[in-house]
Parts: sequence; structure tokens; C-alpha cells
Amino acid sequence: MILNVDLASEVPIYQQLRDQIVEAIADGVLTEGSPLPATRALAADFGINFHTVNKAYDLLRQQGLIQLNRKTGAVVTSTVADPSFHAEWTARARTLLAEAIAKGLSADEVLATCRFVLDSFGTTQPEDTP
Amino acid sequence: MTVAIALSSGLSALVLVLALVLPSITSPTVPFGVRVPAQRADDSTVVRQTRIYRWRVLVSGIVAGGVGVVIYGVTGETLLLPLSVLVLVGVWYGCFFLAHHEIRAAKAAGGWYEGLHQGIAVDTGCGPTDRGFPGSGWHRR
Repeated sequence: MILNVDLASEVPIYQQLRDQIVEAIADGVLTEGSPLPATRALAADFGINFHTVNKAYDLLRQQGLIQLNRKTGAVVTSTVADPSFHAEWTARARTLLAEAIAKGLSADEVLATCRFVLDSFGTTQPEDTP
Repeated sequence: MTVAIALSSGLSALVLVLALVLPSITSPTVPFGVRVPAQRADDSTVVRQTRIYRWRVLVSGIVAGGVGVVIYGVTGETLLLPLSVLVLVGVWYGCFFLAHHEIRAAKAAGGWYEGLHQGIAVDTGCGPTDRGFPGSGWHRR
């Protein structure tokens, strides 16, 4: 899995890392039990502060997407969406969809885009292990 | 005494060669520790500063070697010979810093990164590297 960081982006680096890991989980690139790189190693590869990577991992841990363990490091975990997540996610989706409508996109276009994005998830399957 | 002279001369030559080849072995997009866009790697400022840096290092190396020989000739003290190596390392750092400063100033003044995005990509080794990329197990597809 290749992670990209846009240094000129207004989105904080930890948020960029968090978002890409979430997308990798949705894509099926990272499955339950998949280990994530060590914070210090990833920070060194990017040339960023390890606290930034730590912040991204901590956010993922709080959201129940990964587990942090001293022995195994960061590992992707299975998670079940609870009602509070559903309400919070709906609120964010509402804002995102409102932006599209406010910009003049038609409901059909918005729905088609949503369908396309949803269909794109799961198309990348993890490699077979021998 | 002969060993000390040979060792000191060899060390000075090694430092001098290292300092002279440094701009060639470092990444062209990070000349003298300054990150520049790929299209600015051959900018006139970078080329000029590289040339100036090499001249400064070469002249300083010759001067440091000459001073070392003179000091040894006057005092006859072999322990002072490594001093020229230390001076050379110090001068090397100074030349590097001056080139770094000049390129950094040109980068800021010219807005070399205006309209460009700086990004870093890292292969984490987790999951497939890329779709269709010949990573591990690509042949089984």
C-alpha cells in the first residue's frame, strides 16, 4: 500500500494519513489483522514528526478501526457501526451532499457519484498468501 | 613521522574529494540541502552555486594543505598536521552553508514552488503495492 502526503494541502498530515488508511480498509487493501507500519518507521519514511503519525493512529484507534498493541503494533480490527456513529456520519454526509447541491449538481449526478465511489470500494483485493 | 604525514595527507585528500563530489552524489532536487522542484534542478543559481562551492572547496583545500606544510616546516610538530584536516572540514561546512543560503534565498525570491504541490509517497509494505505493479505474487494473477 502506498501512502501519499500532500505537503501543500490545507488538510493536516495526520488527517491525510488517517483518511488514506480508512480508504485502504474500505478498499479491502487492509483487512482485519493487517499490521500497519510502526509509527517511527513511517514518520522516518515521510520525514515527518512521529507524533503526527501517532496522532493519525490514535484517531483510528478512537474510531475503533485499529488496535494499538505494544507487541504487535498497530493492527486493523473489525468494527461494527454503533447508532452514535450512524448519526454523526449522516451529519457529515449531509454537509458533503449539501455542498454538491449548493454547487449546482443534480441529484442524479450526486447519486451516480455516490454509486461510483461505493462500487470502487472492495475492488482491490489483498494478495493471496501462500 | 612519515606515517603521520602520509596519514594526514591521505585524510586531507579524502575529505577534499568527498567535498568536491558531494554535489554530484546528492539528489538533484535537494542541492545543498535545499528542496527544489525538479524543473529547477538545473537552475542557473544552482549551477553557479555548485561551481562556486567547488572552487571554494578546492582553493581552501590547497590553502589548508599549504598552511599545514608551513606549520610543520616551522614547528616540526607532527601532531599539528591533522589540524589542516580539521580546518578543511570546517571550511567545507562553511562553503556548504553559503551555497545552501544562496539557493534558499533564490528559491524564496523566485517563488519556485508557487503553483506546485509538494507531496511525498511512501510504500508501507502493507497490502499490495499497486494494482498491476509487479510486487510480490504478481505472477499469480
